[in-house]
Amino acid sequence: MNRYPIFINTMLCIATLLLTQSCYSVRIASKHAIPEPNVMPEGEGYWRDKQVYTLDTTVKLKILESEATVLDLCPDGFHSVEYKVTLGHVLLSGITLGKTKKIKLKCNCVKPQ
Amino acid sequence: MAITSTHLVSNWDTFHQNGPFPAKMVLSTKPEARHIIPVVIDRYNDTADEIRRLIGDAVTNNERFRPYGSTWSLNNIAHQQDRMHHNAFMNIKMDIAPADVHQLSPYAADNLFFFQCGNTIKEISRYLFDKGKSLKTSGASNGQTIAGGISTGIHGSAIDVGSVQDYVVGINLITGPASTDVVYIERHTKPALNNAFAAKIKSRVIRNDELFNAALVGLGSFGFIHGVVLEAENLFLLKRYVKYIKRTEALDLAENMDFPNSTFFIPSEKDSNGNPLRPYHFKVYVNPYNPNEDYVAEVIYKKPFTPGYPDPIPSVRKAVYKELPDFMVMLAAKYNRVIPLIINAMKSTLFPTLDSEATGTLGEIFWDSLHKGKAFAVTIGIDNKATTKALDTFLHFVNTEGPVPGAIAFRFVKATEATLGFTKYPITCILEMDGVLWDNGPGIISYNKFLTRFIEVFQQANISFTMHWGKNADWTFPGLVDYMFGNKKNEWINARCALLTQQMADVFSNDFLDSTGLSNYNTAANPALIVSLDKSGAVDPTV
Ligand SMILES: Cc1cc2nc3c(=O)[nH]c(=O)nc-3n(C[C@H](O)[C@H](O)[C@H](O)COP(=O)(O)OP(=O)(O)OC[C@H]3O[C@@H](n4cnc5c(N)ncnc54)[C@H](O)[C@@H]3O)c2cc1C
Repeated sequence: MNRYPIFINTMLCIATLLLTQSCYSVRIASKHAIPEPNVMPEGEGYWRDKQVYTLDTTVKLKILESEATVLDLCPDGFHSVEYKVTLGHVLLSGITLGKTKKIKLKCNCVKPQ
Repeated sequence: MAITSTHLVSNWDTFHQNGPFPAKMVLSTKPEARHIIPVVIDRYNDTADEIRRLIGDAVTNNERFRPYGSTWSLNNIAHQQDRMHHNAFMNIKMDIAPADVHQLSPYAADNLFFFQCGNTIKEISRYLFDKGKSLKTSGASNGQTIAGGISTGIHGSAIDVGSVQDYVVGINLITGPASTDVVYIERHTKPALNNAFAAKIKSRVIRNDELFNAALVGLGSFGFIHGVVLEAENLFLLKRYVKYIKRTEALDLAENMDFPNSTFFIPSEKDSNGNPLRPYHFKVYVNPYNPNEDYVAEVIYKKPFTPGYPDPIPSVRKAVYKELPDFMVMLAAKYNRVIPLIINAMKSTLFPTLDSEATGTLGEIFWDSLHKGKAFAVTIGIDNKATTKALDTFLHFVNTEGPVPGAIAFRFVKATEATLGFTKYPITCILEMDGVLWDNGPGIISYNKFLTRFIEVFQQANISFTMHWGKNADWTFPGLVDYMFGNKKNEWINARCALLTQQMADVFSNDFLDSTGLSNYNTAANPALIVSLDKSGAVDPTV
């Protein structure tokens, strides 16, 4: 009797997972930039000794607009950026014909000089 | 005004997760913005005022105060449980003008630079690069701060050069909360900057070799190092080769440093008579669990700088320590026989790539390293003449009482003048094991026992040694510092006690200093140690 809701719930879970899991993520870093340190090491791996900033937002682009999106993050420049694209982001961009885009960034700024 | 952020914490840890250690408060100071205080020296002095205020606050609250840099030391030397100060944002840089140089200085003004404590080695290398200059040496990587690096005595393997602190020619210390507690110290036999410069940074001058040499490797306990004067040199290139080397050849070179007559040489690195050249850097990697395998040599030659060389970064990039999956660590704890297999599997990241060549500046060849999990590093300094005996003692120890998940390397450094510099032998062979921190288990020696046994085994073998202050050891081992440094220990304590009041000596102490017996206070320390001398050694009437 209640097999149907379980099926729907499972499908919803899978769909949510698919939409939020990253299709891929890319990390790029500047060769000579000095990373902004964090006050105490945190977490593991690449970001452990770096001050991490994140941006998870939706931007609406006017058709044919080609200028850069100016962010408040890292006013002096980026040391490294990790850009994540999920299936949900791709679908949103597709459905809105590219007018609405999700941006999910994790980054470290250059150390203030 | 320089701004300090306050972080209330319950613990603090190192970059390589050698803690956590209990802590209460972490402070982090940023110099004022350039557009608010445009004159660099004013910005520097303003930061000094803030640091004095913070020290005063610690004194008022009867608490200790410890600065730290990049947390790259793998033990508790940078830790203190009351107030810790994070310095990495304090990165002011100044060129030295000819008018600032002492008239009897042996240094050229254009080679002298003033760096605030939180500048990292990478940052300094970039800054110097833009001026056509270079550091003379660095460690194998570039993330340490200059104050943190010299405080433990960081080194590379530049056989005729020395360690990073050996090119520090002046130190600006803050020893307490009063305006008179700002001192600029340098060697009286090699003065660098004049009294007028010291006045600009509002400092009392003390030119005194004994004091300076003691403060050079100060273990974070000689007061707050606010800035240092570094001697740089013209930009140069390094050409790096990685080759297999036979054990006998490696040990012969290690003990005799006779490169022109060695059977190991790089064919393209010979002089006009066909004799092999003496390299700038010589390092040997050893897989401790495979006696039949040749060693790997990293040999680097110094060249004049010419632009247009291929980018070396892709071939020098690597993680210094590689993360092991948890199940492997667990497996290793149960069945120690898997460790040699792990080391074999890790060889590609622990050792540089064989038969590779790379050319770059010092800053490029000794480049970034990445965090890849919990790590340990045990490093001893021995006389290079004792390399074979020490290496065999080490190999026997890890093969009979281990194995433990680490690989061995040895490097070479010219003697330091720093009183407690662990590169104290004419040529110090730095014998080290880097590896992955392991969990205790029935199949493996416990980590703490390994550290204690290490010292016992080397002492029983009657090998004279020192240990890297920023690395892992049983620092509570009775009499360890006396064994390593003999009377130098008291020279260091006396210089510290002459410079710091008893109260301030305690403020700048920590558990590490207590457990090594270095925080002892000698109320009878000779006040002559803080008297400024002229070049001849007489009391200097000008300061
Ligand atoms: C990946 C990696 C690679 C390494 N490679 C090498 C190498 O090649 N050669 C080598 O010799 N070592 C090496 N080490 C060890 C490391 O370089 C040293 O332990 C070094 O001292 C760390 O510098 P830091 O800036 O992180 O200082 P910290 O570890 O934060 O502090 C070290 C000491 O300096 C003191 N200190 C810091 N700032 C000040 C200040 N302003 N005033 C007074 N005292 C201060 C601290 O109190 C502490 O006693 C390596 C470590 C790691 C993690």
